[in-house]
Amino acid sequence: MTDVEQQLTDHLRRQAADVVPRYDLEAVEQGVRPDEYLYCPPGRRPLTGLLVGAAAAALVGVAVFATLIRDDQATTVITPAIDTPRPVETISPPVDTSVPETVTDRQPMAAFLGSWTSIDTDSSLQTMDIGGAGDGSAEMTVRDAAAGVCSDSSSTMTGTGRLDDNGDLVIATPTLTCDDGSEPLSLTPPIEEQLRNLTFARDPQSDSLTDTLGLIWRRPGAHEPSAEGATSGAMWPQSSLDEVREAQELADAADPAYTWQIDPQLSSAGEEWWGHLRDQGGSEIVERFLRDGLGWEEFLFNPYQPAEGAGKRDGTIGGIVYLRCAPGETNPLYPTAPVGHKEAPGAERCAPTIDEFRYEAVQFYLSQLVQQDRTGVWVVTDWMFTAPFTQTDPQVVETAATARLQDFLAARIAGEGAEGYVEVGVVGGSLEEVPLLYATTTGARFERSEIERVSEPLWPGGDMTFAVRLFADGGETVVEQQISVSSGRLFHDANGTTENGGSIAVPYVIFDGDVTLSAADPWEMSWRFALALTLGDQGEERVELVADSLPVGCARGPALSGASELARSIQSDPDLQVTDPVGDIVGGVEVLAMDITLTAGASVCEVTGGPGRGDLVQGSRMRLYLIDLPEGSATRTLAISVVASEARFEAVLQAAEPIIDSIEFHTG
Amino acid sequence: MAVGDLRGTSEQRSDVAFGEFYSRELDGQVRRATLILGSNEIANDVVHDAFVAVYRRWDSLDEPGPYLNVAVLNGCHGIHRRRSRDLRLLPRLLDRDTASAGESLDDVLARLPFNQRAAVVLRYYDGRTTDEIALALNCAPGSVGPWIDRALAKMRKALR
Repeated sequence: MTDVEQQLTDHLRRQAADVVPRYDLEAVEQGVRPDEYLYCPPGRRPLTGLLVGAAAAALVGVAVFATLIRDDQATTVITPAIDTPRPVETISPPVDTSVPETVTDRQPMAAFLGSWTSIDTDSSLQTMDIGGAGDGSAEMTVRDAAAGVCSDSSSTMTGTGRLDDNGDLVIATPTLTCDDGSEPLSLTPPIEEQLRNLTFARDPQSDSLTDTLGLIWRRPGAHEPSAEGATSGAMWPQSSLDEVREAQELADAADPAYTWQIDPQLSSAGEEWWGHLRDQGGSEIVERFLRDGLGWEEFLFNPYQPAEGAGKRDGTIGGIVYLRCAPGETNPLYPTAPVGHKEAPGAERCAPTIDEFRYEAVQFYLSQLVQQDRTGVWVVTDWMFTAPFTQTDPQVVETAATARLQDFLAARIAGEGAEGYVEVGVVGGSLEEVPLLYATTTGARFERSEIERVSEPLWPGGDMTFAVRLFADGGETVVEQQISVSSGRLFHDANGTTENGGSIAVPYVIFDGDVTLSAADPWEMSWRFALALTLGDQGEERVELVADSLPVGCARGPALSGASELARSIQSDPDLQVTDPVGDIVGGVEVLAMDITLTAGASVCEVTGGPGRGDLVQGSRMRLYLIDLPEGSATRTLAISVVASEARFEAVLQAAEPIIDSIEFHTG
Repeated sequence: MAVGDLRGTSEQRSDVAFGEFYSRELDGQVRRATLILGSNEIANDVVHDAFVAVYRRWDSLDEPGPYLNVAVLNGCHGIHRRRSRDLRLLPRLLDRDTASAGESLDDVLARLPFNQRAAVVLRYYDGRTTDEIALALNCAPGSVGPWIDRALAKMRKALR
């Protein structure tokens, strides 16, 4: 175990020791969360109604928060810290609700901590973070991309709050500043007076906050109950188990009034149901429910709104979410269909129904309640309208990403400060920065740059790809790299770097730094194999590296102690035809090299062992290098194999030569 | 450790009362979920919901241990996905996405993708094998090593 692994193990054990499990068997058996009754004992009045009624009536129209994220404000980047809710005190054991409450019992500060979002009627998304200050108070930060009192520039509001006697969080003197340094607009009464004693009341049932401006704040991703009346149902089209049984009998008798509820593709093993639901016209039970049950004319399966219970098990497919599309309209923010958008085909034709950002959404289960096989009838169960689903404005994404890329490229030209902007995708290695960060392969510094968006934005988050070009040697040398933006983060596929059109070898640091190598496109690290550079997706042609190779051959055995022993073991395997090992040099170290094929009739066989490793199959050949790594390496023995079909073997071996030649070993 | 076998348990449902099962599994499940989620409170909720799901199916589950494990991991994954979706909704750019020197292990763990974080917790806290982790995370065994390698690389950088 390396130092890092040991530190990680110790760290996790320490962290685990501090964990406090919340024991509440009774709540489990009642099927409720402990806090559902912990915070709302019988007879307690809800807080939100009173506050909304009084405060909202008094303060409605104060548009401090009600601001728009507008296209022309795209360079304003929202940076709320909502990644991970802050650790909060665990409430355990459950409170005996028969005991008179204290303020802390009813609404502990912990219930307010963490991240909150509020969706305004104009669809702007505002974020708020509340963190504990350690002395019973809390620090609040609210961020707006385009605040009205700041002439539509971004604003930040901060303040310190405490719980009052009602258990509400009161921020006595919030301070709002415009991020561009300007003064907030003069209001009557003044902004600070309007904000004074800003109060948040928490509704434990919905885990939401209502502030004195009438805004409702929810946890990120939480459902927002619809304002409409009937928003959920138990079952469709039947309404009881007896009716479902009867439907099953009639469907079994080929009654066309019920056979449409049979859907073998939903019943199939594996993930076929997913594509079946995703493709419009796929599942008749779903189509009929949405059209006839809900009255929706057009709709879209939404894989981006994970719901509770998502997945398939026990004859039930849970957490299915569909969005309602405005009939006959094109999505105003995503009018074209990006090539390769497999997850949400048709999103470009699905215009939101609430406004240009927000969709009505429904969540439901599909269940086979009577007969769980390919001929069992399906019913919709536990359906409910959920919070509107919001698509991101791709123009905002593009402007923000472009600004970030401009900073990145300027730093590269300046020769410093470009680290950390872009995450580099390297499987099995640890390339930490974009290749050719500050100079060309000849060391020439970059002189200028350009950015071009090369893909259509991907619904719903506006993910897109840019080509960035850096010019050196008076424009004679051009380094081009593709950088993608997703969820606000920049990514670069390390294989996507070219210089004057030629691929650049990507360095890989593997086996805890014991081994480095480099490989250029079209070689790329494969997810399919543990540590292999492959040509093509299937991995039939590959360079594979296995550290401390496990049992050798088709028969499993104990781990072997070195290259020579490994070579002898391979030679002794009756399923393998092996050439005599010959000496060679890789990375300045003496190695044993041999060619291996399967004997006639031998089955597929793992030559170098270990889960996930590639197989040697009939018709393929392997060049195997066995290496005892220098003393001081964490890895003792390294097996490097080049695998290809007999017909392609020499060509692949030649193509792999630069990779083998680039291998270096590092000790200590 | 009181966490059920990720691959399945030979103990049959009928051999044990739910209360006993709950008492035996709660501690380990909450600790593991907390390490994966970084929040004791949310982990308690996720594990609680998973126990509710098990309780509702108690009579039909032959092997509640593996079912509970999957339910907890799915719940953790759901929380991560929800966080990711929330981030996607916000057109923001992170300044501190990648590990930098001097950060704590907690900082790095908090930013790991779900699969990487779950894999390192299952390996270095639970002591699970690659095959067991792959089974628990419903992935190919070959994916586990790279996930752990990448997570360790980030930690190594942070600990410099």
